[in-house]
Order: sequence, then structure tokens, then C-alpha cells
Amino acid sequence: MASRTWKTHLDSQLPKAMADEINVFETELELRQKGKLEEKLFAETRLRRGVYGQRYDNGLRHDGEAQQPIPFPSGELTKGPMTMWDAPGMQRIKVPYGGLTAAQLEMIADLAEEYSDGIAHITTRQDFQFHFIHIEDTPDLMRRLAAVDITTREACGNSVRNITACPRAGVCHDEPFDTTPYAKAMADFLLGHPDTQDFGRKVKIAFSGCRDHACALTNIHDIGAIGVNRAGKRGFEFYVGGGLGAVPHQAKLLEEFVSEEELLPLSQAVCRVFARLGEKTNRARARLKFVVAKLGIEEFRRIVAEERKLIPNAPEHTAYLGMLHATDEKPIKVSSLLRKGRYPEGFEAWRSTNVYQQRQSGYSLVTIKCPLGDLTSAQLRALADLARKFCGDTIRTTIEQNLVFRWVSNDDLPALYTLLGAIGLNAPGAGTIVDVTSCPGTDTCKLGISASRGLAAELGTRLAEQALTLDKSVQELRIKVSGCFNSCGQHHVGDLGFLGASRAVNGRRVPNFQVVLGGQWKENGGAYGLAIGSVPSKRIPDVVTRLTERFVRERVQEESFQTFIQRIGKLALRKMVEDLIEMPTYQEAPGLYRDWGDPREYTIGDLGVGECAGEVVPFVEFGLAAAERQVFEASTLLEAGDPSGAAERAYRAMLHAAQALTRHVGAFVTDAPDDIVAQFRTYLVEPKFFWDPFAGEKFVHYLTRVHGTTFEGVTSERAHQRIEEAQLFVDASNQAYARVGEARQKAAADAKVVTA
Amino acid sequence: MIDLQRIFVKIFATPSDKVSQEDFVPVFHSFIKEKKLGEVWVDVTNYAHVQHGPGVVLIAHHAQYAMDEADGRLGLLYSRKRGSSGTLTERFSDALMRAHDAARELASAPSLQQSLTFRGDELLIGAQDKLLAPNSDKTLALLHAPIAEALENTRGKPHTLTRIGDPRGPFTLLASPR
Repeated sequence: MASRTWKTHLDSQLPKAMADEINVFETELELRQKGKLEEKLFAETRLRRGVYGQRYDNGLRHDGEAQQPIPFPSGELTKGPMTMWDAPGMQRIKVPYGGLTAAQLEMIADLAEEYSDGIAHITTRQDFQFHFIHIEDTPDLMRRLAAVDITTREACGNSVRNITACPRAGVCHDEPFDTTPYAKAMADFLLGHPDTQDFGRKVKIAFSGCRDHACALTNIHDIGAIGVNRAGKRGFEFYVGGGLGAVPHQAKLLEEFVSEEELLPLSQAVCRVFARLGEKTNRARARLKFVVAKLGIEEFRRIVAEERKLIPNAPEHTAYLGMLHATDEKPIKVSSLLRKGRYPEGFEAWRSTNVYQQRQSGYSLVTIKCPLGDLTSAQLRALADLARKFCGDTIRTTIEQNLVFRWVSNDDLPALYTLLGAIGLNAPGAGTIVDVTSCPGTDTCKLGISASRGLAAELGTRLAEQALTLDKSVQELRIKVSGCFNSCGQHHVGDLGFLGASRAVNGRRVPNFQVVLGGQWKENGGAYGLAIGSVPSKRIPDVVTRLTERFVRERVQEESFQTFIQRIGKLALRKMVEDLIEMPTYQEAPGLYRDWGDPREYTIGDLGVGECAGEVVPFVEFGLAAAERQVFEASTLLEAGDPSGAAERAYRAMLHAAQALTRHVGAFVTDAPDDIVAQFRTYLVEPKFFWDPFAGEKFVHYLTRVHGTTFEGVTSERAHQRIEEAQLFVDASNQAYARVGEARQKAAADAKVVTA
Repeated sequence: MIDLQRIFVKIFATPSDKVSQEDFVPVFHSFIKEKKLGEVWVDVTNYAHVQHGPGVVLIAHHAQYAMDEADGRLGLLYSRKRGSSGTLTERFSDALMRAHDAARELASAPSLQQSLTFRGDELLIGAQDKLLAPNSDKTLALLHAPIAEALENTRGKPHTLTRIGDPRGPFTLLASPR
């Protein structure tokens, strides 16, 4: 049946390069369907176009009792290893520096409605994402985005990801200059650049206009650039090697001042060095942060400088400097003062948290708080209308999953507030404790361990109900939730961070969150928090209540939450939640064995109810609990200024967990570390009990890398990393324990069948 | 004839204080577990936190079923995404029958204790396809007859059809029995 297609409709209207690129992808898609393109190659091809996997895309879903196959019509056809062709996926679209026009919002609305589930989702890196997208719809989706000058190219995969920037750039009081054109130039320059095509993993880049605030979090990025003026000349403090993930690293200063002429070629040199020296086989160690950590910043600096000398100066390095004003925004309304009078109900509260007075007199930046970063198509269209009415094409996304309107004339604020209210988007509290940030977690992410969005929604609702009575010191705190160790919810830099984990209790699994305290949101994510313990998901709201109430009660003068956490000490903090960590049996509290918003009994992947539903606690659980305690002790040693002791204790924790597991599978193992590691490898690693479907042997390396080494002279930062690694090792041990239980159950069932 | 795939039907629910979006989560999970409605089920997703949003959505390979609250009106929204075949009348008829089947299942779900009822006096029907069926009078001229026929075939009565909604949004008709 012949019908018009988006290809025939749009091809002639798109820039030729973009049209060709999408046509090539469509051809690759057809080749894969015919089995003429290898699945691994196609997987990387689609990832580089932002087409990502989603939960259950291996064609299996647990219904709470057992794992069930999803009978997709295309059968065994795959779009990547263990990724079924028909399984819905996620499409990420790049929004460089978060900048959007009204027309782009309208396009995103159309696509969400037609191809997704009616929702467009703002990510913690200023992107948009659509979920439940079919692979065969992606070429048309890309064409339609290209028609409004949006690309999905290199939104995922081993590439330079979306380049983020402070949403206040250009209107901020603190910045020396607007970093927007530099962020745009970097995005344009590196997109598809030959020197960015051979990475072992992704590269994330961020721009900020100041050191003090958190709007861009340059410290957590592979490359971070902070605008500075030196002797009247514009340039950047240039940082490298930051990153969150399983083991967070603070970025290191590569150059104190990089001139605007050198910004792009220096970044190119860093990319070349990363492509050459970065890990290619072990994905767990393939980020730039590991190259910088391994070489040391001095040696890395030397290598980059040598590389820079090999790059000939080219016009594209500086061409953008002649167009620095191309991204300047022009207000569509004249500046004004907010007239005094009767304002709409709730306006003052909203204004106090969601409105920022711009550097330009008479104008404001308005933050539109988007719950969990989600917007409907109707809301997006209405927002496009409001932008055209009040501020023009000056919309930006933020890393806190919100939108901002810039250049709103102050006297328009009450009208804008009222009209936002009509579409449910005038909630106050942007950038406060009620504005909880979360990654997708188990809702849609195939790596999710716990329901981060479910927890974030619950906390947001409860805190919003108390918003008016919350102490000001509590209102200013940030909560960040990640569903797994990949840390997309940026929990390391929240005042209160929560990291998805799971625990096994009497053979059943319990959704948990590690409670991570003391992260620093300000100063571009200036410090990372440490875990004080793993608490069942359903009890996290109690953790928040206890911590915030104590903060209000015992805060000394204007003490920050971070200082308060340091002063109280992790030991005391741990004591505050110890009773919450204690797990009742399934029969006593079945609700704790389910995650937020999911009526199914909690599982991960194909893991179900374990071997024992009785009251007896298997010995291995004591061992795993002891290992967890040792991780905690390591963090207290670090806090007490003993990084060597902390690193050694972290190692001991891993050893303890490994020993407990090895004994659990019936092996005789002594207390000798060499024996433990050898037998652990034989009985747990080789049979793939201690193995992650996505990270492989990543967690094993955390143990083997430090086994047999000395801990003298370990730096605080390295000790911090060792503690993070030990925590993840213990988490993985809990999963391995469940895996062993499941294998035993299966063996018992098989034996029954044979007997019968 | 155009190859229209993305067809939708929304059957309005009677407002009730006794039922909330959260109540639909276990019901939709049970649809998956019990393999109801003959769909290839994938998952349940919850957008109850979004004002006038799709609410709780049950995702299938060919279609989505949402307890939609667009414009502040709760209803079962069936959105076909792919796999439609036959004449346009057959496609709209199929969507109407699937929406009605789902509404029946929901209304009789034991956990909802009959607190959810659906209205027969009006519904929304249309297409989410900006290329083939923009929300315009031209599309109305094209689709009026097959939609009218589908409604009469499945509901046994002729309907009055009125085009409504944002011209930028999906092609939407408000259908009321004459």
C-alpha cells in the first residue's frame, strides 16, 4: 500500500549530510534485518545514533513469580547481542548546551506522541529521551528531528556525548563571559570528527561560567572548561579525567588558562590521546579518568602537549571566533519592573525558588520544574506557545531535569506563573529538596537495580507536602537518586544521595539503596559523598526524615550539610539508620520485598525466590554483613585521616565477602588471602556466579588488582576509590549469593524431573 | 488508500473518588501475567506524577493502553502503534473493539471493586500521524466515512463526529451516538 513517507517528504529539505547519514542508517537497519550485518557492528552503529536498549530487551520479563519470554513477532532477530529486534528501546537526542527553540519543543511533542508513550523525558545531561521506541521508527524520527536542526548522532555509544553547559550562561551574574558559543563550537567541531571515532568508551564534556556554583558540574566530566578572563583575554580553566560511575574521580586541572584559540585543538589533542591510550577491551576501565589516574596528571599533560604539537593549526579551530555572537539571544519583550500589587496565589513562593534575576536589568530566568523530568506532548506544545509569548527561543534544559525560560520581562512573571499553572508546571521548589533528580532506574533502564524514579517520586511528593514547614536549611538540600552504580542520577554529588542496590535475606531479594552522604553539589560538584549503609528502599523516606530533622536540631550556626555530616561522623550517622537496615522476614513485612511502584516481588533479571524461606539465616549472610561493616569501617578510617588503613580495610572487606561466598559453595578455604583469591576464582568467578551480565568480571578486578599490593602511601582520593570499589564488590557478592541459590533450586528441580 | 497505522480510541471513565492511578498498576501487571487481551505485552509504566498525562500505561508490542488524563478527563486510551491491516474501516473497527475489550476487563478487575465505570455517551477516536492524518478538515474529509462506518459497525448506532483539539496535535474526533 503506497503512502507518503517522511523520507520522501523531508529528504530534499534536510541538509544533505544529515539526510545521507540517516539514509545510510536506514540501509544498515535493513541489512541487519536480512542478516547481512553482524549484530555487534549494528549495535554500535545504532548506539552512535542514540538508539539505545531498554529493560526486557533480551525478550524476557519476570512477572513476579517466574521469568517469562516475550513472544515478539520478529522471533530471534536481534539488533545487538542479547537484544531482540522488536523489543522497545530508548532514543536519546542531543541538545547541545541544553538550548532549544519553540519549534523544537513542538517537534519533540509530535515524536513523543507518535513513536513513544506520550512523554518526553529530560535527562541529567540536558538531553531528551523517548522510551518504548521501535527500531524501525528511528530513521523517520531522526529525519523529523533533523528538520528542526537536532541530531541524535553520537548521543550514545563510544563517542563524545552531549556537551552540556550552565543554563544561566549569558545571563549569570558571576560569569566573566557567555560560554554558550564555545560549547556550541565544541559540539560542532567534535561531532563526527575522525579523532573521536575510536574511543574505548564515551567522553562527556561540560562548560561552566564560574567555579563556585554547580550549574554544569565540570568536576564530574571527562573534560570540563570553566570560563576565565586573564589580562582582558578570554580563556578557560581546563579540567580532565573527572567522572562518576562505579568509582568516581574528581577532574584534574590540565591547564590554568587555555586561550579561546587553543580550546578546540587542545580538546582534539585530549581526544587523540584518549583514543590511543584508553582501555579498549575492559569497558570497566575504559574512561578517560582511568588514563589520567594511571599516568598521573603531569605525565598526561606532557603527552597531551606533545600531541598538540602534532596537530597542525586549522581554520576550523578558530573559525567560530568570528561568529561568537551567533548564539546571542534577543529578548522579545522590553525589560520591566515587577509591579507591586496582588499576585496570584502561590506566586511569591514560586518566585522565591524558581526565578533568578538576570544580570540584565528587568529580566528573569524562570525555572520550570518538571516532575522527574517528564513532559507530555500537550505540555510541550503549550510551553512552545508560552515561549513565543514571553521569551522567544531562549529555552534551555538543565542537569536537574528541568526547563528554563530566559529573558522573561519581570512584569510578565505573574502572567507566566498563571499560565504555567494551567498546564501543571508552576510548582515551586526548583533547585530545592523537593526537586529530586533521578535516572530512569528499573522503570526502563536495563542496568537498573532499584526503582530510582519510584523513590524519587515518593520523596518528592512527601517533601512537597511539607514544603511550607520545612526549615530553610533543609529546603536548600539536594537529593539525587541513581538506580545502579553507573550513577546517572549523580548521587555522588547530592547532599543526600541514594544508589540502587539489592540484598539477599533468607534467600529472598530486597530492593535497597545505599545512603551516600556528604557530596558537594556546589563548586561544580566539588566533593563526593561516601556510603553509610544500605537500607531497604521502602525505608529511605525514614532515612531522609531522620537525617534532616537531626540537621535542623544540631546544626551549628550556618553550618552546611556537608560540614554537619563530617562533624557528626559516619559512625554516628550509621547508628541513626542501623535499625532500618535490620530486615524482618518476608512473612512479617512482605512490602519491604517489593520496590516502589511495582507490585511484583522484587527480582533482578531472572532471579526469583531463593533457596530458603525459613527463619534460619545462612552463615554466608553473616559473612556478607561483616564485609559490609568493614567497608563502612574503611570509610570511617578515611574520615579519621588514615587513607592507608582505609584502603587496607576496604581490601579486607572484599576478601571477607569472597571467603564467605567460597565457603558457601562448599569449598574448603583457609584464611590465607592467596588461598581465598584462588578458590574464589575457581568456585565463584569461573562458573560465573560472581559475574555481572553487563560489567562482566569488572568487580572481580577490584579485588585482584589490590591483592598482594601494599597500602602504604595511598592517597585519600585513591582510598576513597578503593572504598567505592569494595562497596560494589560487596553488592556484587550479594547478587552472586542469590545466583548460587537459584542454581541450587534449578538443580533440585532438574533432579526431581529425572527422578520422576 | 493511506496506510494508517497509529490509530487511537479513548473511552471516557466516569469520575470516581474511589479509584486512583496507583490502583491501575497492579491491574495492568495482572493483564501481563494472565496474558489478557491477546497482546504481546512488554511492561507497565507510571506517569501519575504528570498533570493531565497518560497516567499508568500498559505497553504492548503493537499498542499501548493508558489510563489517560489528557484535558483532565480520565479514560482508557488505546493507541495502536503498528501492525494495523485491512481497510481503514477495518482498522478503526479493530481499534474500537480492542479499546472496548480492555475497558471491560478493567471495569471487572477484582481489585478495583467495580469502582471504575466507562461512559457510552461519547468517546474520542483519531490518528496520531502528522504526515498522513494531520488534525485538519482535509483529514476529516478523508477519514469521516470509515470512522463513521466503524463506529456504527461496532457500537450499533450512527454517531455524530466533531473534529476537536490543537491543530498541531493528533487528528481527533469527538464521537457521540445520535
